[in-house]
Amino acid sequence: MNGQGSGPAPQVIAALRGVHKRFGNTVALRAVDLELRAGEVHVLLGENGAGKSTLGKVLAGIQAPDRGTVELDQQAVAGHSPGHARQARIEVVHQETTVVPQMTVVDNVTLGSEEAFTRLGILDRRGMRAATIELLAKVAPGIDPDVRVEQLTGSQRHLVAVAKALFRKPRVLIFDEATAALNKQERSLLFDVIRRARDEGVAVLYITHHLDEVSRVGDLVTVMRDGAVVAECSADVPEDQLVEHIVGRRVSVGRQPVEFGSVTGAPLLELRDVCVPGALRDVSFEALSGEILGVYGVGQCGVNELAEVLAGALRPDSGEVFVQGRVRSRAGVSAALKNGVAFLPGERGRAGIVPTLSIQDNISLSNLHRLTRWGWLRPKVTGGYAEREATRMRVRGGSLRSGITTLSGGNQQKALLARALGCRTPVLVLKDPTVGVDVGSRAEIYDALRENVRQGMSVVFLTADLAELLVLADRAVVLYRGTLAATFSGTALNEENVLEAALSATATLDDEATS
Amino acid sequence: MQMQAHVNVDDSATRAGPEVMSPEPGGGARLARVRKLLLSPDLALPLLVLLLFVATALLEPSFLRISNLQNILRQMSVLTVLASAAAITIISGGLDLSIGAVAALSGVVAATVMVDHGVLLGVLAGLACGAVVGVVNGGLVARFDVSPFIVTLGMLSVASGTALTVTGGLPVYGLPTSFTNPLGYQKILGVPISFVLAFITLLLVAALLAYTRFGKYLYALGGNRTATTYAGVPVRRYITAAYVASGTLAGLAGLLLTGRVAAAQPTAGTGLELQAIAAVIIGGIALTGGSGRARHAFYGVALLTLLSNSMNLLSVSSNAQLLVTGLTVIVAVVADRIRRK
Ligand SMILES: Nc1ncnc2c1ncn2[C@@H]1O[C@H](COP(=O)(O)OP(=O)(O)OP(=O)(O)O)[C@@H](O)[C@H]1O
Ligand SMILES: [Mg+2]
Repeated sequence: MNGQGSGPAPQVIAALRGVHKRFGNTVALRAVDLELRAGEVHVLLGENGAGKSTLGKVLAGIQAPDRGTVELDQQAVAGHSPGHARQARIEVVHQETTVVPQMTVVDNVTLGSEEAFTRLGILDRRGMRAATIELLAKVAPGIDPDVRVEQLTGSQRHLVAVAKALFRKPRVLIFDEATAALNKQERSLLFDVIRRARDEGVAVLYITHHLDEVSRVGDLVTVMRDGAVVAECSADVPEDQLVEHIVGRRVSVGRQPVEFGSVTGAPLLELRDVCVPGALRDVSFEALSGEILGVYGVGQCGVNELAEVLAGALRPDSGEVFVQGRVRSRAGVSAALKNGVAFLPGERGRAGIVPTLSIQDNISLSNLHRLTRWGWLRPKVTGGYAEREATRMRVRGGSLRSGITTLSGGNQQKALLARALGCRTPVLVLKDPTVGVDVGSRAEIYDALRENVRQGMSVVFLTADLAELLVLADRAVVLYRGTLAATFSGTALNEENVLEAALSATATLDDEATS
Repeated sequence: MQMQAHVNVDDSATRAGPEVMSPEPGGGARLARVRKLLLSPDLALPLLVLLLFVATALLEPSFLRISNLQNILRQMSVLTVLASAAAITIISGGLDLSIGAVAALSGVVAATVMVDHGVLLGVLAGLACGAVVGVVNGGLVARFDVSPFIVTLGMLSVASGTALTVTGGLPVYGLPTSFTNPLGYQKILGVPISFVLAFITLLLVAALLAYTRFGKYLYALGGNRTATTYAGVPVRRYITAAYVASGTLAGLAGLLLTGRVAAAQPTAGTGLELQAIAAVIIGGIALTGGSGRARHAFYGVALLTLLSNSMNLLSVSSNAQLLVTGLTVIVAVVADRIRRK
């Protein structure tokens, strides 16, 4: 794709040779070899817990390998460290966004790069700011450079982290599931940025679960399973073959048929004329028993606020929310849960996991009132419950008693799904339900949700992932600038219609939409 | 057009989990583990306390006199209760700076009521006073999302101001002996009653933290309040409850304090909150919240009290004692950092 096959082979900038890494009984990396070359986008695929993030962290000096070596510019490095990686200009955009919420966008992007803008001990603030704004315009137009990061949405925060990595003019750039929570437009912009970086000679390692991205940005592909590299191929290998490499079995790939006209249940969750200043205007819809309702929107469409309203975290300025036919009078997530609405928040790290608790405690957190007697914990009951829910959601990792942060990102997400689904409420509200979850598990999670719905539940999911909307939703509502632009079901629920409504037809479609 | 494919898995055979490799931890890993063990609060602190005990006994044989040992336990009782209080709020991700002042206020209230209406009503009034202050603290912190540091710092002043105003700055005397004798000098099997009460309180707090839903929610709140809220935990109720527990325990500490010296001093609590918080930190409970156990607070109390007693016996000046205590806190915090890495 890029200078391969013709001319001299591109230079290897960073490499791993025979790297082993284990955590307790879990082998995260076994005898891994990997080469990153200048001007090449190297895609890394694999199931949740395959060792992808660990590999990235070893390259970045965050995790020390137990055995094997890290090579930079064909020289083995002894005692690789984050400081070393910085000197070698290796930058990582981590799976869990790492920005400082209390600082402005500019300060976050330039954090740690001050030296390059210091002349004779004086910091050139204006120059630094100008450079940041120029970069932001490419990566994330529409983000106010002077706003504090805590006021941004999850995907915007992530883009700030991307900008921060790019600001340092990296030679090696590692994206760990960079697009997981991004919508279509943001994704396209990011791809442009990555291609530009590649053309400037940056070596890119791109970790993802979205197979459709492989051919869009990738030059070559490495697939990992259980800590080992199991396949290396070029990026134009068909998707089903990639799936086979990832899952390690023969699988049949096909689009899930959507059943039409089968939804006749009573409304379990209903919104009437809900207004939230600056975010939502007169939004009304209902979610029926026995259906999966998808909510989609791009940009500042109000999806985040809508999720908060549905969850009970945000009280609408006017309008009403009905749960099972009764108007919701008290605000608060806990009250909503009691009334039968369980919630999975987006942004796993900020609003999902409790990092100091075990996997088991994280899973049972929403259901503890039912697992205790007279306020006393019953470890056996809780353990059994967590075990069942974890198995159902295919959480893979060490013991359920170990800390939740020992799980890989995708497995943490599955644990959070287990927490929400375990509540067995009539209504489930899920924000970005499968962010970071691998292809195989995603299918199983969709099946589990369908099973719930068949038993009369109602699932509302809000997603930035159009593909997920189309595969999972029986019916979809599309938001545009805080208003409900359209509702689709049946054959009308397709990519063109949804995008047209979401972008209000007049907006220019990006390359993905027109391809 | 790219359409996300749905994957149907043919082969449902479950795969083996991650296999276990032959054990081969390098020398570095082993060293790290040893270091971690040595720095763990459950080993390092009891060892340190023991070391201090033996060292003082060798340097100053009068240390081992029964009366001195009983004295140490009596000194520990108030701090044990206050450190339990501090542990509760700190684990929940908060902080209660008012506990010392509230202890003094509760003592004054209890004493005043007791003089006219008897011991039982006095004790209840003291505890209720602490609980009420806790409701205010907790309510403000939980409802209005104000920093607990600010709220309880304000409450510290309010409580001491109230205690001073009510008493006119003078101690309340004339307490019934049925109150002051047990807390002052009576013992069970040679152990001062005040320490027995304090230790039972500690055990109750330990059980509350480790074995109840309330405790689990406190750890969750300290670990990530936003996530705990979204998980559907009624966080405001539990934050308020944490401060009520802290206030009530401060009230209890006030009763012990009053009983010990047979008078309620409106200024008796000055600085106690800092000692309690220092004990909690020395014990290895992180100020950031979400971790630690009640017994860790007790280790800290034991270490601080023993340190002060041995320095008294060795006639170290009180100025130098202050310095040593400060250094202990700093060393403890650094050790905590290293351990958590
Ligand atoms: N700090 C840790 N302690 C214990 N185990 C860990 C730790 N970090 C990772 N692991 C384990 O190592 C394995 C590999 O984890 P890693 O995060 O690299 O997976 P991943 O491929 O990035 O998965 P995902 O797609 O879910 O992000 C997992 O089994 C995980 O549980
Ligand atoms: Mg990962």
